[in-house]
Amino acid sequence: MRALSVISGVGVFAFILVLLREAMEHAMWNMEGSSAPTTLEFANSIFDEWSIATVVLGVLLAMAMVGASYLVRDERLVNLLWDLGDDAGQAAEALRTERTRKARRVARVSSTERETEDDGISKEEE
Amino acid sequence: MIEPSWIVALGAILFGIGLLGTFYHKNAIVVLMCIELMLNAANLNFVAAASHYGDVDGWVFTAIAIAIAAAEVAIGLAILLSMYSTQETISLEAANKLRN
Repeated sequence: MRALSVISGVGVFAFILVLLREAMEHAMWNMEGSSAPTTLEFANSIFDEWSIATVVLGVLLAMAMVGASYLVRDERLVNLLWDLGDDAGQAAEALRTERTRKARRVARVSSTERETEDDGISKEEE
Repeated sequence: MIEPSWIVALGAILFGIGLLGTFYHKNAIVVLMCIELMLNAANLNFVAAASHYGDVDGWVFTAIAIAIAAAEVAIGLAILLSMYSTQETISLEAANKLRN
């Protein structure tokens, strides 16, 4: 595996060298160039010649944003309830309050029973 | 002004670095960065040619490529986040399934 890795590294390096040579010594760079385009030409080109491509690109970007936000959505219960709206959120809040109240009541009853048992044991000891 | 052939050479070097990074790294974010490096190397070539020939189409191609790269990165990072939430790693060796 390591040998394969070294061979691929050497291959990529050789590819870069060939690419450099071909790119730098190509005949097109010897041809006489003209002046660089201006920003105005760029803007005109985008909104005239490439207008459909620009619109398609905007749609693509919008789709990408929607897809990305769908992929990273959080599926925790609280977020799902928030998505469902106010009624579901209030119902969940009421349920949570009721559960808390019930848990407190159970804790109070159990502590009272424990105190009663403790009193009974101390009376028996006396 | 810098000779366009040198700019193209820089583009080739950047492309090679990106290619090597894509081959040799297993961290998905590093691979994503290397892919971006290769895209930007191609953009550099477009800009060099556009400046040399005075043709604005190279700039337009570059703008389109940058926008597509932005969309690609958004989707890629979202996939990585989704992968991290399910597998708790972003190593590409762990990404051997198309479903969770």
